[in-house]
Amino acid sequence: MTYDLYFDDFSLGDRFTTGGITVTESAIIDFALQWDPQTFHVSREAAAAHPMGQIFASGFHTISIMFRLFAQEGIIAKCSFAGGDLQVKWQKPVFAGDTIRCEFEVVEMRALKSRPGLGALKMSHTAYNQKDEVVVDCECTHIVTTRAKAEGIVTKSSTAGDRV
Amino acid sequence: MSANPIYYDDLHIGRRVETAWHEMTREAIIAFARDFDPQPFHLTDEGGKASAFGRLVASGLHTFAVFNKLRLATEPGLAITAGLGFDKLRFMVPVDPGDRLQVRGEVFEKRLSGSKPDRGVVGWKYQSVNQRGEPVMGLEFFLMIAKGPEAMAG
Repeated sequence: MTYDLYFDDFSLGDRFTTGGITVTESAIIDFALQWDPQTFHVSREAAAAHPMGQIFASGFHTISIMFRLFAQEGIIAKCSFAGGDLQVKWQKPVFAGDTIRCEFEVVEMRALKSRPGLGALKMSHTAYNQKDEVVVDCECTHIVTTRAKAEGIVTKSSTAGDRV
Repeated sequence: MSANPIYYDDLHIGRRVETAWHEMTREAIIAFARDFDPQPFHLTDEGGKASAFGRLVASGLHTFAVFNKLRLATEPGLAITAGLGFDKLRFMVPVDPGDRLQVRGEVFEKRLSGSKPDRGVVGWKYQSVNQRGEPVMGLEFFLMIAKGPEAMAG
């Protein structure tokens, strides 16, 4: 299902959920070999000797999965890019065989007076494992096109609308 | 670990690090975006032209992954027991195909763990800069670091 929402289509408190992706050991190792080649992300023996006790996914991998799930849902129409300050807390490790799903909620909205046709949409992104434990907690601002701009009725002199 | 371990007490406030340079090739930008950030302006020139950027640019997630790769390659001996998270991650300037990035960082915060005295939280302020010296990304990054080899044992 795709939503294809523009900035004005969102409201505070809107929530979206995704399906799950099961994270396999080979996916964990492949990602880590390229981006985070610490021993406990790529070797069973090394991970067994580490406080975690078994191979676990790089935190950068779990974040990438979250944003992949977000993009796949097609929540935001056209394009969105990162604005503002992104904050992430890695709460629990992700092990091979865990299934990660995400929930997103709109927590703040701001029209951008300096950038007519764009709005700042702050969302919480929360990733859960199959036991419904929070594995990653994230807050992120997306810069999103307004419907007016997409439909070509925003001019340089107009703003994207009142502050919501 | 083949590298000399870096423990909590080795990381004094103000300790600086500077990594090697990494080139963001067009092929790598597209490949990463396909896997993790499949938006049109990370995948094709047409998609780029139609976007607010006016051209194909790298995904912020990709720039972020490169930051970690460079950071780790420069300090492979860091005795990390857990990654905690990061704060104030922001992207200042788009990254174009062919840009080269370097990471510069400094320890700005540290405190022993309340519950586990054999480890502590260390915070770094990092920036990725491009070949023109422009900061493209900045963040504060927090890791739990062991005080000694005992904390790294399973």
